[in-house]
Amino acid sequence: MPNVMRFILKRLGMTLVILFCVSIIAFGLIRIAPGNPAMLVLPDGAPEEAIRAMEVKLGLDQPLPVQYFRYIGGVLKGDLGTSIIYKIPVKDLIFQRLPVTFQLTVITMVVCLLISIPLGIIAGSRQGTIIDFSATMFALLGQSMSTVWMGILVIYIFSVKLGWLPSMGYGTWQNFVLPAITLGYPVAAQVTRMGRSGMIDVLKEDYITATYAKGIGKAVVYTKYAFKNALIPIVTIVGMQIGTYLAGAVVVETIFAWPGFGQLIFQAVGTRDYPLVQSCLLVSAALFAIVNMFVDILNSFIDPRITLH
Amino acid sequence: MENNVLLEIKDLQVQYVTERGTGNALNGLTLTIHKGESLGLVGETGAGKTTAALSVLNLLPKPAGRIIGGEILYNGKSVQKMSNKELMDIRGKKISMIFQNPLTSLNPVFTIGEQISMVIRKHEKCTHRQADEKTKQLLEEVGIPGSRLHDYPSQFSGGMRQRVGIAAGIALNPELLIADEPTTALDVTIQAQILELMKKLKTQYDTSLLMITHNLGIISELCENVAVIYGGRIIEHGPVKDVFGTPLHPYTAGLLGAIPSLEGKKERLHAIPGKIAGATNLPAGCAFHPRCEMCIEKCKSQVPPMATVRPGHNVACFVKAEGK
Repeated sequence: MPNVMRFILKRLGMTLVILFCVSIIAFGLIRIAPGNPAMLVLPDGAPEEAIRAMEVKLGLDQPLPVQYFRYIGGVLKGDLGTSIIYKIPVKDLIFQRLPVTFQLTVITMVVCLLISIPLGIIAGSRQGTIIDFSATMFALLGQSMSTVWMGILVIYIFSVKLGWLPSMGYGTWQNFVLPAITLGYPVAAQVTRMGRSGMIDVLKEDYITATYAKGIGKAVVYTKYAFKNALIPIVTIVGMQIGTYLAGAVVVETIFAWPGFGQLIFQAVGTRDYPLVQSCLLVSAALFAIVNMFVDILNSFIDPRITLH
Repeated sequence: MENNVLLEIKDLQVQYVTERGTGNALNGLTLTIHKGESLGLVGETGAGKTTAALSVLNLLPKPAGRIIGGEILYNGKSVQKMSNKELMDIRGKKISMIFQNPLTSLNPVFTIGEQISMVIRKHEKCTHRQADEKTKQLLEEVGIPGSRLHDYPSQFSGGMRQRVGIAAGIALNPELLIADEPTTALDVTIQAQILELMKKLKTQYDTSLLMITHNLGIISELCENVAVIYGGRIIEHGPVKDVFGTPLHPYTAGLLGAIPSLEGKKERLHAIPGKIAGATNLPAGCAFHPRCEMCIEKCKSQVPPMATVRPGHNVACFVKAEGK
């Protein structure tokens, strides 16, 4: 498929332009924030000269354009800079943390879709029944709760009151449960709703009546002939959410002390670790763009009316 | 004649219940189709034609549409009483349907080949490859290159898509083919092509045809008999030659008078006054009486029964039945 290849090349080209803009914005934003890493690296009450010396050491005494071009020059050569706090290359830090976030993303998404897709189909095809009502309530609840509040709620219920699951950490399967619920529930809610409304719309279409008129049964119509039409908005949402998860589920990883990419970003911002913040934002923007590129390709395979260009 | 009845619709009443109110789409529709017969069902938009077609396959939109009275017998067996399995076995194999709008009746995300071969695979024991082979033959038969099997509906024009619909309809050589205004959504030149195709297929396949349309020309091209529907009831029924030659019901006469003629003296077109009787506010008595020039007192309160005026030619009209 040369079409797909051309699309990928074009998209990657566009992504480079986006990343260039992101690099400028990230560079600017973190420098607008009060304080600088030199002050935060040194102990409280360090003398003025020591701070100046540290600024010179970190190159922060240079004019901003010089600092930016030094940084971006390094990035173009594949050097994402060195973390001021951790004192190791940013690239190594990101490669340590990304897989941890990736595990959480995959597990959350798989569980979330296994629940929400069937739920959406059933609710949409049994509109007005008790099942539909329950599914709608499930979705409404999931979309109404903020991540922060839900994180605290599940910790309170499952860790504090019931004592079933650990509230923080990483390593065993139990550690996955609460972050995955907190991260996945709002998305499951959204997918359920999209699946439901998609099915309701599709089942009214003439081509579904035509399919029944051919003697095809309900089960096949729901899971194949109608479902494929209802799938497109779902793929789009899921793609965006995977992008967001990979780019760092900052809030959830922070609540549950999940040692992933999101927590890294959170810490980097807190310590004004300039190179780390800049490179993390750059990588997360790149991940988001690439995941969305795959979503567009996937959608074009599902629906032939969507052309890649 | 009586022995080879294929489909018998008896006093069928269908109701739609929606948020906007209750509508009576069919109010005692009675219709018989014999084996090998091609019957035209004519009526204006809203007369209940599509409802009648969907009722035969028990495919009324749920939960809005309901059969509240009467029955539909296919080969003597009530369609309403059939199990889901029996219905599925009949749909597409024994009775198949061609839909009105080819732009909406094909699934946009499946290939046209899949949409034809699914009916073959459902009813015949065969492999995907065999079904595809048969699909190719069917496509060729309706004038589409078999190589376009893997193309999607959006890659075809409206007329071509209706050919696909027809191919799926005739795929298993059904006993009854219901064509619900198969040409209405198409351009006039394409209409003629589709009509030619249906004529060709009709002679080739020994299928009974229920042709639903508001186009009287199509009926006279394709059908032997015609039934005129108004307000959810058949008001006139007979051989095409008789009904169109000497229409009995004032409504039928009105319909025929509304066709412009190219030959002869240019006359003013005859229009039927008033609006078609809606399903939500059906007039009492004969549904046509508020628009009828011949209306007598009786028409306003009583429903005229079907009366045979001459052999095979029936009409539901007090005035015409008495004046025979």
